[in-house]
Amino acid sequence: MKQNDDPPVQPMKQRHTAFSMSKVIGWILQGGAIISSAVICVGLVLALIHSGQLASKQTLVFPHTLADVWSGLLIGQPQSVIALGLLLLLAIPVVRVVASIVAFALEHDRRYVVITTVVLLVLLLSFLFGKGAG
Amino acid sequence: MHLTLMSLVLIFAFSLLAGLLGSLVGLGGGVLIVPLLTLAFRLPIQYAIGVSIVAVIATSSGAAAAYVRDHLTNMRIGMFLELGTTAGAISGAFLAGILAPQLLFVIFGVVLVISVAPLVFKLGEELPARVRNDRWASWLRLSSTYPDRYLGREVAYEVTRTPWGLAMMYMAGLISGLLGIGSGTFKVLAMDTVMRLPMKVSTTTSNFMIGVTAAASAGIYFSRGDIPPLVAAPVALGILVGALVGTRLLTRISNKGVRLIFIPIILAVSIEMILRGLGLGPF
Repeated sequence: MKQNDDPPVQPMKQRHTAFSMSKVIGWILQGGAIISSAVICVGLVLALIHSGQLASKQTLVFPHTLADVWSGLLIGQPQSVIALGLLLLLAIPVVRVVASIVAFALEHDRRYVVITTVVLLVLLLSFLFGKGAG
Repeated sequence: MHLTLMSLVLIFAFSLLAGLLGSLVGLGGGVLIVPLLTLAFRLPIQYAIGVSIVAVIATSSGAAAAYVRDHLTNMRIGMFLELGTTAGAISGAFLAGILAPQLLFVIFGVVLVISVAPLVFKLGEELPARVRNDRWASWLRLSSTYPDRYLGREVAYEVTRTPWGLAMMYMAGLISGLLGIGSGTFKVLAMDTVMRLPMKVSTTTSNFMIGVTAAASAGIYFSRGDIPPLVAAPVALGILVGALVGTRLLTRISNKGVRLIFIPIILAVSIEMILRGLGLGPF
């Protein structure tokens, strides 16, 4: 009969929780993108005001440790402000993974809590190795 | 490298295009950004790759926000396959010191060229037919539905050859860990060709995943000083705007259309990889 052509009907509860979870993850991704791009914009405008920052030699001289970025921020150095925005951007995927662990836990979905936790651990491990190699 | 206001605007405009295309086909846009920065602006390759990592995360965050809310992305598939990509990325970081990247670039470039064949073969296919969940897919509850505005209905789909998809994701992670580019193409191929997902689900789920794969190496690039802020800034902003436009577009085009855009891009990626492997041009 006609029923065979319909998409499989999912249980009400799963449908509902999946919906709220995608809302939260979507909000994190979008919020992160808005915040980081706003900070990058501010830094870029600062750099354009101090147009000396755009001179050829300065482009490849920039802060790349957290301490440098922080001390640059304290004196309002444009490149440090942009670097802060970039760091916020680079952190979005990690925050998203952490948030999904929480979301799956709230759904009592143990399988996916385990899967996502392993992903987070491997991700953190890669940061450690990265530091060792760098 | 000389940066003027004009070049900032140019990089921004180009990145907007990269973000638009990347958000449509599930890639990070590095394929466009790396040649632009190295060829047109004479930026050394290490910085171009560092900036392209930023581009990947910007595309992923900008586009995935919309796709997740529109239920195009299959988050379960994404999270599960991230097991493969992150494990691959970390192995790649290990192997990077041991293996000669030149040979790998050529090998994977050729693999990509070959993988275009099944795509061309499937050009006429709007939705995969007769796909049944395998045991893994059932256990992991991977099958789902997505709203297709082009077709005007909710499309139900199932998932097959899950272990092979996971294995290919490991390869995708390995490649991005080793070479820094081309991971989105392999992700889309794994989901489209191997696991037989609808094209839009493949590209949007790839979009969702590439950010995490890139994040695994982003910290390294940043602390090594490979990400120049003044170059990365217009790229990140351009990509985010482009991705915003791309997400609006995707719902209006067909799966066939997405595949048609994907094929020339995949060819461009493979040519870039082979050229880099052979040490030709600026790569």
